[in-house]
Amino acid sequence: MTAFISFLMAALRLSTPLSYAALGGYCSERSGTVNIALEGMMLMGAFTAAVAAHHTHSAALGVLAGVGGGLTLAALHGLLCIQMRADQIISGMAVNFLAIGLPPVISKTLYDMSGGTPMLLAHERVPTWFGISPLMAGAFVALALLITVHRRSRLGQYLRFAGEHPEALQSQGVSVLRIRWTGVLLSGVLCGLAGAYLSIDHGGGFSRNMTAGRGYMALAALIIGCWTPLGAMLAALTFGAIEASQILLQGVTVAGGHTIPVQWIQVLPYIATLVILAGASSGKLGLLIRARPPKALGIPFAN
Amino acid sequence: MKTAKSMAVSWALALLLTSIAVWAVGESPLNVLKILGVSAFGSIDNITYTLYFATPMLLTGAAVALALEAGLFNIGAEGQLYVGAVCAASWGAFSRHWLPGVTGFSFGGAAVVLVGALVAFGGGALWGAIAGYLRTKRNVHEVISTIMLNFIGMALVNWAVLNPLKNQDTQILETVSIGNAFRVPHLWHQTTYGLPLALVIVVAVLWSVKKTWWGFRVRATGQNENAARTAGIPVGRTAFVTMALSGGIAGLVGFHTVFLDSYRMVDGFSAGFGFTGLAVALLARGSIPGLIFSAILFGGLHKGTLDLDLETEKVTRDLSAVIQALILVALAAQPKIAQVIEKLAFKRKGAA
Repeated sequence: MTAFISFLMAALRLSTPLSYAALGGYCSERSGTVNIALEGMMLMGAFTAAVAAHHTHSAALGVLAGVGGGLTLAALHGLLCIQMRADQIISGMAVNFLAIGLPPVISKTLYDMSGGTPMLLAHERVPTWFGISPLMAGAFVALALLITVHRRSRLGQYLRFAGEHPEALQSQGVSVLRIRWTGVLLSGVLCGLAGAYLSIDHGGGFSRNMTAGRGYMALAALIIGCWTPLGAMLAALTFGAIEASQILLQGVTVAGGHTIPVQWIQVLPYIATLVILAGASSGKLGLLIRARPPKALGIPFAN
Repeated sequence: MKTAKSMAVSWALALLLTSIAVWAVGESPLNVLKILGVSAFGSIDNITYTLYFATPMLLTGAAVALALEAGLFNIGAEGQLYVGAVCAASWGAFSRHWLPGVTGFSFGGAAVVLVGALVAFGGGALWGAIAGYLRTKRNVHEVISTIMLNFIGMALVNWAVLNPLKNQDTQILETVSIGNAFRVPHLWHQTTYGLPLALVIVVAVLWSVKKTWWGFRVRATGQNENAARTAGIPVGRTAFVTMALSGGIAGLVGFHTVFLDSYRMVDGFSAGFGFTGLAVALLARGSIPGLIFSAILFGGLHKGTLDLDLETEKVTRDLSAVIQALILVALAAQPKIAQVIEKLAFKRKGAA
């Protein structure tokens, strides 16, 4: 029983960054902007959060800085995709590369370290109660908020229209560009929180490329969840559980007394992402709903 | 001409922004640019190093460019070249005790090297084909699938150098070296025979995309899938084959490192060459001279930033990742930048 509970806790912990990022992806993609920059925004958020927490000795300010870091890159993505009508994949890759390259350059200047930040002290990290931190709970709050927005609010309707039928929205006198900006910036905030969780809550500092593809996994979760907040979150929780099951597999002996090589265990989430995505996207694993992207996703809007 | 202009604008903008960043961390931008230039192109020896780094970038650039023509973003060149290298290193380990005593050229040796190239190509092609299958049959976007495959490929390399192919004689994470009979010597100082090989492949790929019936199918698929399907082109199969070929070309980087360069596979042998290939191909826009020129520039950038580690206090090789990212930013913003420049030019003309 205790083993099961500790597994559930691990799953919850590991799914938190994916949940935030997947919800961020929802905001951006539902309003029509492809966002493979989730990865970069998360990575940048992780870095700025760790730097701020280290200097101010305050976890709260760290989280705030994480949001700022995510927002900054979201603004760049928005500038390129929405204002300049750039190719959204190229823009996303540019943002991701920037997030890989900038932190080591800055950490070299600040700490003379190549790629990381100094280990954070206990009081500089987000506190937890019985293993649950405010950021972990916050993911569920964000989910509840987004479900409400998605189903009941005018903003949710506008977001969906901006992604499905922008002309209709514009003809009603609502600025599509403004709604899309809202979506992209919201994704920056949520990815910033995801990053802050990684570096100053789950981890005790920033390390090089610490997101390790979680942004892309969150994007997969969004697709599997059929571009809905609840679906995306459930998929993120599933991925978290798969990541947590790695811990169970470590040191397990198979036939002949060999242990499974650690590298094979490490790739489990990536393989699972591919397999689940393949099943969900083609609708052949018996899933009830087939994932359909928003109609105007990836198409720049010109008014 | 258009390619040259857009390339110049991208590089200029990226270097300008980089200079600001360098100034912000407290180094002299002029000094950094000077170090970059000198260490990339300042002497014959440096130029051979630049060409040496440009070699894998030519291959990955060609791979990405080919996929781009079919409308596919192959961000998985990194993973594909890893798998190609693991396959080549396995073949090298398997054949290492063959032809003992032979050191110079022999037909047997040449055959083994050739098989090494095919095996590396096959490994990369398999990795590309998985992404191609997922895209065409399962509707999974290639950006997500290739990124996942990159991580799996990276783990495969890591596992191979630690377990089955491990070189027991050293602490360095590397595979056992290949037999003496199969080591293709370097071409000129640091430059390897990979350079002519890569040039041939770049020309062959981009030429056949433009001039052959198969290339026409690829371009039609990339430009308008529905129109191509209506015209009777097997869109799915074309995309799948293109992705596999693209992966195979990237896999040849693995052949290059194992048989032409270091004669073994060292963990971390690729300094993000697969990702650089993306920037190289996007800048070149399908032009052969454009791709060659841009690979050499990025090779120079890589060589130059390695020396920044030694010659400056605060700027390290990580700067090249930033410059690369800024080039992509500039590239994405390009249509808008061109518009602004045109407007300015128009105003000046109007005033005069």
